[in-house]
Amino acid sequence: MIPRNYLVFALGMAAALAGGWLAFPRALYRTVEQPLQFSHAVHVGESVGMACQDCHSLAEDGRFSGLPKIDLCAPCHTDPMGDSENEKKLVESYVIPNVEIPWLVYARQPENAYFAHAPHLVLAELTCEQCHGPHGETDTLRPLEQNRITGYSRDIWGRSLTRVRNAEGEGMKMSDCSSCHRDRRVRESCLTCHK
Amino acid sequence: MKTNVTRRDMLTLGGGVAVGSMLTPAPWLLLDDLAIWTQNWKWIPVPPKGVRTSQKTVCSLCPAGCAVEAGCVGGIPVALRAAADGAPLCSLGMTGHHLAWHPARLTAPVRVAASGGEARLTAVPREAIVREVADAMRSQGRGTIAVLDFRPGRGVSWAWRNLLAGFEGAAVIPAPGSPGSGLRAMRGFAPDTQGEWVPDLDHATAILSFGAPLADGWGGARTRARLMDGTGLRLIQVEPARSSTAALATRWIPARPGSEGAVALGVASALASADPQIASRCEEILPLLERLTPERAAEIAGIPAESIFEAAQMLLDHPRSLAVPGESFAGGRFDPTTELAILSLNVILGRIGAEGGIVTRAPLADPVDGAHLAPMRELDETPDASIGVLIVDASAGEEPLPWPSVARKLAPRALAVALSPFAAGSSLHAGRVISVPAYLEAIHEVPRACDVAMAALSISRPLLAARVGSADPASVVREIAASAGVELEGDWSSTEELIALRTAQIHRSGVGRLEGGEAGSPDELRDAMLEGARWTTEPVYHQIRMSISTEMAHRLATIEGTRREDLVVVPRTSPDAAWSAVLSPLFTKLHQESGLRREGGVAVVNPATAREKRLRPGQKAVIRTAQGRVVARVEVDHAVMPDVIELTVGPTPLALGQSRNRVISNSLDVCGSSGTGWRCTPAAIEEA
Amino acid sequence: MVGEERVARYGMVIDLDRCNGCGACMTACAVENNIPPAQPRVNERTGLTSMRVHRASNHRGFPDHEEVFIPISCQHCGEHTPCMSVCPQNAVDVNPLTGVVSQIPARCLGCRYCMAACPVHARYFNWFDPEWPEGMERTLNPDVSVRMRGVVEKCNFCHSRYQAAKAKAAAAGSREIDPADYVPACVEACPSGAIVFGDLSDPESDVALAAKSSDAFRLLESLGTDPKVYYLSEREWVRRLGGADVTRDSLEVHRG
Repeated sequence: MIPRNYLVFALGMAAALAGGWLAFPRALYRTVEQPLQFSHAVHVGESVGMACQDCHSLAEDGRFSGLPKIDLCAPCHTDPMGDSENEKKLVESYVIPNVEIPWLVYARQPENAYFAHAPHLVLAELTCEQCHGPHGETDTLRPLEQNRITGYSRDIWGRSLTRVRNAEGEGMKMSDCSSCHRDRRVRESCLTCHK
Repeated sequence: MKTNVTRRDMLTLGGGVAVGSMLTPAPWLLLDDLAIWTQNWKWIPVPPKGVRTSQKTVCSLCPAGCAVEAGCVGGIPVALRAAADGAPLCSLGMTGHHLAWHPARLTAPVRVAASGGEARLTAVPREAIVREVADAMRSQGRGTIAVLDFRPGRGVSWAWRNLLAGFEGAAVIPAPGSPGSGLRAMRGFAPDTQGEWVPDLDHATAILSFGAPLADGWGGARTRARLMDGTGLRLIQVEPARSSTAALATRWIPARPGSEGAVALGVASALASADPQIASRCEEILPLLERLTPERAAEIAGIPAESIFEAAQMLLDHPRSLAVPGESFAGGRFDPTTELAILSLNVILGRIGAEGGIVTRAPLADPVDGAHLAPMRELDETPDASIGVLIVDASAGEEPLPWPSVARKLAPRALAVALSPFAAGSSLHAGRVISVPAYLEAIHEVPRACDVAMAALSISRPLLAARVGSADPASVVREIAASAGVELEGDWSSTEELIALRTAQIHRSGVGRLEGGEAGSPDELRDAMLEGARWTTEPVYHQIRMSISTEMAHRLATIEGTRREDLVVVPRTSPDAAWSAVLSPLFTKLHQESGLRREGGVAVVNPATAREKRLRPGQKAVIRTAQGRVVARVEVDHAVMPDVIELTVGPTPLALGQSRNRVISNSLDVCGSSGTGWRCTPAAIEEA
Repeated sequence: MVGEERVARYGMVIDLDRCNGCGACMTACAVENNIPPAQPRVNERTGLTSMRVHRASNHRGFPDHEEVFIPISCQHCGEHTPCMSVCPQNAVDVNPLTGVVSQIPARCLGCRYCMAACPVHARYFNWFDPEWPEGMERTLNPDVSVRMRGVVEKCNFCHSRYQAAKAKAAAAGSREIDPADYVPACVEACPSGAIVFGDLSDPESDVALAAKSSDAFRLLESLGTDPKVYYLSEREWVRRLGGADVTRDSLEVHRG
């Protein structure tokens, strides 16, 4: 017969394990939808045929454009070209009044982190997927799972709560960048990535 | 088995929960999140994000007009630096983009009431102020109308003169103490000169400077560069303190403040004895020069007589040399007699109109030709208690000015209105203030100050949208004219249109050239200037014979009786802080957070003077002059001449945006006596 | 794999005969690095000026009294870096590729041990939360983060400009920056051209040549910290200041 104490202890442990592994992630992250749905697949696919660099480009002075501004969408979308609700919303709420779309950024980092795309794209020859996952092939934009305490995306910690990697491009914490730098023997220093 | 829950059960359960949660990601993630959360408080400002652009404009904060390249984020300037090949910006220019958000910024016209030395502001509609001014202008018996223009030469300056043209006795008063204003005294020698008198510093090989801050902005950065290069420019600097110009000079002559006139006449005396041709040009004052020998002058000034002979020799040896009076940044001009003595040196040397001497430059073309214009009149020439309506135009900046010198000229019930972006400086003295755009919010012209022989004009392009509630100064002139029933010349209603008219006139005249741009049509000229190109001319030389009149000789004779004052107070401020009523709060780095510059209201004396007057450093002392009294903190420094009090004038906490108290008075107010400027004032000091 | 990048040693040479104490370097530093303006009760001891111009004099009476202005920022000591060796948080490190001594405010816990260790008082504490007049935050430099109170900061040779220069070089496929792209704010702002900046390990650079001049000296060289900021003066009494005590705003030659 199992002693009562052990049972109670086990009950406590079970409750904690369940809470920590199942309920906690749901409670910690709040799901926020993007303001507009956008299909990378459509724009990259055969009918439109754009390349990544058409909207996410590296300028000559080394700055990365990040997310495109509304004046990149405007030339094609001055009038709705299809009959999707999303496109209608794009044209009416953003293109015509010339308002920037308040995209939610999965990869947003704190102010003191500095990341330059130029050395990674040009010198290290990394592909977008290696850090951002297969984002460029998706048909919809997944919602942002926002950490209720810090305000940053779940993508930074990584989907896997134990940080044991499942997929490539998961996790953008300092240790993720550091381990790749170590593998490639980049001589590191604090100021390389902090501002 | 027992089923009631005991305390032991709860503790065991708690233990299980604790051990279990350690095996989940929860505590580790929470610790990490807590760390991030504590580093990203919501009240820590976050720098702006947005598209980065680079815009060119011209700094209009002072007459140097340095070309500026502004790095902007989302259209708002975040960094101002010199445009390529241009002179680096000073601390004021570098932080100019902060001024639009200065705490003392006015966003609506106000009425100012003084109470207990502080100003209280109440918002009033601009139409009310305009109507009041127009009514006061029309009513007779109140006094004359005057506009105090801190940046004369602009299109708006012309508009003021046009507005005042029909009113008897009305005049525009140019800023009393800005660089080069001492040269205006040349009018005494040639009253009918069309243009402005300016020193041809660029072509001089030897300069006898009486306090001119040549290394701190005179002549743009060029004179400074020439001094530092050691390319043979000889400079003798007559100044009571070892300023940065004095440190770079070939010789520094530490003459007592107030003795500069004697030094100038001592040099004239040495010149007259050395060269009979010079003696023949100063016949009227030869008897005076025989009494006021170099030795006697040296005695008055407290310097060795060799210095005076050296200065005279330098002027003789260099045909392209000149003597120039310099306005100090806080002290303004010399008294008229001293200016006369200094300028006389150029007359007797025959340097008027010659290369490297004192020359005239044509005034900038007016926006409309042949308009009726009110005259320009110096503050000193304005009779006391004569001004009934005073409009202070500080819309493009202002220099330190002891308000009592201006207040003295106002009639008993005078109306004073200021145009200023800030509730600080001169605007706190006026009864009404019309809010105007701040630096970078509106288009400005930058005409050259009278310290350079080449006339030049730049245009400062706005980079920010003007606030609602700020009025364009030119449109204010229009509104006043309409309300007062005055008809103005030309078809314009804004500063931008005035500038367009002027650039069209410049283009039509065919005079001058464009530096840094190409222009075929008036529109192209204006567009090139908006992109930073500067229109400039070449100096024109033709030697003019002038002489010293009997009346001048009488005035100069008074220098012989220069008394050695027991103690004088000399106001001091830094060059970059002298051009604006308010400074960026970052100026606290220079004043408060380091020992580099002193804050306003400090009386610095030589240790010998401190011992004599029984003053201890750090103590408060009262300085008394004929103008009033001020309490200052005493500091002791060997850099200050004995028997001189260097009184620092600014910036005040209000100017730095550190104080909500709108204190009206400034320590500078204690300086000045009737008709002789405020550069050096006899004073008494004692511990408070 | 990553190619071997050239090791640089960035340093400065400041000509004290050209410096006239205008303070433009201090202002430029504050603008570039988002340093907040002072609260009303701040003084020299609690001020935050990553570049600070100190004063010293020849201690003679008027009119022989002469002053010299000495801009002092972090000297980026290369050997036994005092601040790095005392930091309990590892918030300070020396970049092996540039020689720049970094200070990461996010990691600092505010013990101020490094401030005590720095022989030239070049480290400053954020005694207050940063506060700008309303609306002025829109003029902040987006390349530099804003620090909260309770952390130490100091000059880092405008590393944000170095990062921008590296990104620009990388976009063109190069690992070497163009020296003209990396000019710290104080160097750019000096109207006398008194500050020269560059790679001390490049024997032909202006800064390396100036550092070898017989008029060059460093502050507190006897401590053996190998600072990378050199000073130049033709005046003997100024050169002797290299051995002086550095106080909050002046250098006092130790007598006796």
